[in-house]
Amino acid sequence: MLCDLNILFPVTEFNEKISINQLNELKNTINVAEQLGYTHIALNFRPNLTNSNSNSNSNNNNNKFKISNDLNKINPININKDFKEYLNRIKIFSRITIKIDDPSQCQNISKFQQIFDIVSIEPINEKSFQSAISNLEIDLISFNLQERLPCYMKHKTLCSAIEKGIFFEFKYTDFLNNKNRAQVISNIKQIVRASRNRGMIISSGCNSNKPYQLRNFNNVIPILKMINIDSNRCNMMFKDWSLKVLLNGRLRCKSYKQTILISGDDNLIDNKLENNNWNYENLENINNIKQSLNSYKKRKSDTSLNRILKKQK
Amino acid sequence: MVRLKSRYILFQLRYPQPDDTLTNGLPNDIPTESTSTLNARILVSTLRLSMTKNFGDEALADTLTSFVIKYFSNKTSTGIIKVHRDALEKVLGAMFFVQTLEGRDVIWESVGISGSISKCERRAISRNKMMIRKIKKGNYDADDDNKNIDELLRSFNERIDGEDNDNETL
Repeated sequence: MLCDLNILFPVTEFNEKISINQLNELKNTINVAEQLGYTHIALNFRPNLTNSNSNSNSNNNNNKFKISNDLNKINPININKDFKEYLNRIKIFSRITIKIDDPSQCQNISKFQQIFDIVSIEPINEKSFQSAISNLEIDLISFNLQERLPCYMKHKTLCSAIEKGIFFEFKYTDFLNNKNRAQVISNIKQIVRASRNRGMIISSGCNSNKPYQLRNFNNVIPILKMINIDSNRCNMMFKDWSLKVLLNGRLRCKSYKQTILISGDDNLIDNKLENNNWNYENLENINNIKQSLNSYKKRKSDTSLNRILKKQK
Repeated sequence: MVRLKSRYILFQLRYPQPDDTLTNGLPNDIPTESTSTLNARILVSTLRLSMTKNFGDEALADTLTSFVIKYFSNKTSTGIIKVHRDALEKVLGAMFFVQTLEGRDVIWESVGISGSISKCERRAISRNKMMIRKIKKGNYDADDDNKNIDELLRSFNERIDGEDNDNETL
C-alpha cells in the first residue's frame, strides 16, 4: 500500500475540460507510478483562484460567484469515465488544493468537501494559516516550500492541527529542482521540529508532463533520513499516514457525526454506489449520486416531531 | 580487524516513454531498453558525480573503494552494484538525484538491497519470471498484438537464459 497523493492534474480552470493530449500524458504518468509500485494515487486539481496582486475584493467575489453556480460543473476530474482501465489495478482519487490568502475566501470549501475526496489548502500568510487550522474542515495543509514559510512554526498551532487530523505535506520533487533546495530543506526541518515528528505525509507533486520526476519509495527514504526523520516514520509517511488522509477524506462523505453506513452483511459500503461518471453534455439528466449525497444521507421527513428535534439541536 | 562489509543493490533503470506507445495494449511494466552504449563505467561515473554534487567529498570518499557494478544488462536495464555498507544510504540518495542518463530522462529505481549477491540475482530472475507470467495472462484479442506478444516472449526468454548464464559466470 504505497500512496502518492499529489499528481498534478493538468487543468487549472473550473469549467475547462481535459484535452486528449493532456489525458494521455497524465495516463502515462499514472502508468509510471504504477510501475514504481504505488497503489493509491490522488490527482491534484489546483484551480487558479487568487490573483497574486489582488487587492480588489470584488475580483475575488466574482470568482466565488462563478464557482457557486452548479455543483456538478466544479469537478473536472471524472475518474470513472477517463480512467476506466485502471479500475482493478490502481486506486485513483481526486483532490483539490486551494491557495488562500484571505480567510473570507473559505466559504466554498464546504462545497468542495462533497465533491473531492481530499481537500487541501495552501495558506499564503499567517492569518489564513491560523484560520485554516481552527475553522476549516480540511485534510491536508501544504506549503510552497521553495519560498520562506509564511510564519514561524509553533508547536502549539501545528499540534492542534494534528490533533484535529490535519496532515502536512512535503513534495519530493522540490528536491529535484536545483534552485532553492536549501530553503526547501530548512522549511521541512522547521515543520518536522514543530510537529514533533508526527502528522506529515510525503508525495511526489509531479507534473503530468514530467513523469521522470517520480521516484521509487526506496530511494526517497534516504533523503528523508537525511532530514532526521527515522525510518519507521518515513514508512508511515508513505503508507499509514497517507492512507489516514484518504480515509479522513472519504469518511467526510460517508459518515455523519461519527456514524458510518454499513450494508446488510455488516461490511462497509464501498464506492460502487457512487456515480462518478457524469457527463458534461447532458448534465440535466444525470444526477451525480456522490455529489447529491442521497445515497449516504437521508433527509428527515418534514413532520412536526422532526421539526422539534431539529430545533433542539 | 573488522571484515569489510558490503551491500548489493539491485537496480532498474526506467525510461518513461512518450505516450504514443501507450495504446498497444501491453502490460506496462516491461522495462525499456537502454542504449547499447550505456555501460558500467558510465553508470559508476554518473553516480559518483551525483554523490559529489549532492553530498560532497566525504560521501565520495566512501565510494572510491569497493564500488563496482557487478552486472548490468542493456536489454532489461537491470543491474547489481556493490557498495560499502556505510555508503549505502548515500548511494541510494544519489540514485534519487539522477535525472538524465546519456541525454534521456531516467528513473533510477533501487529494487532490493541484500548482503549477498546470490539473493539479488534470485530476485532479479524471479522478477523477470513474474513479468513473463503477467504477459501470458493478459487478454489480447487482436492478431497484431498476438504477434507482438510472441516476439516479446521469445526475446524475454532469450534474456532470461542470457541472464542465467551471466549469473553463473559472476
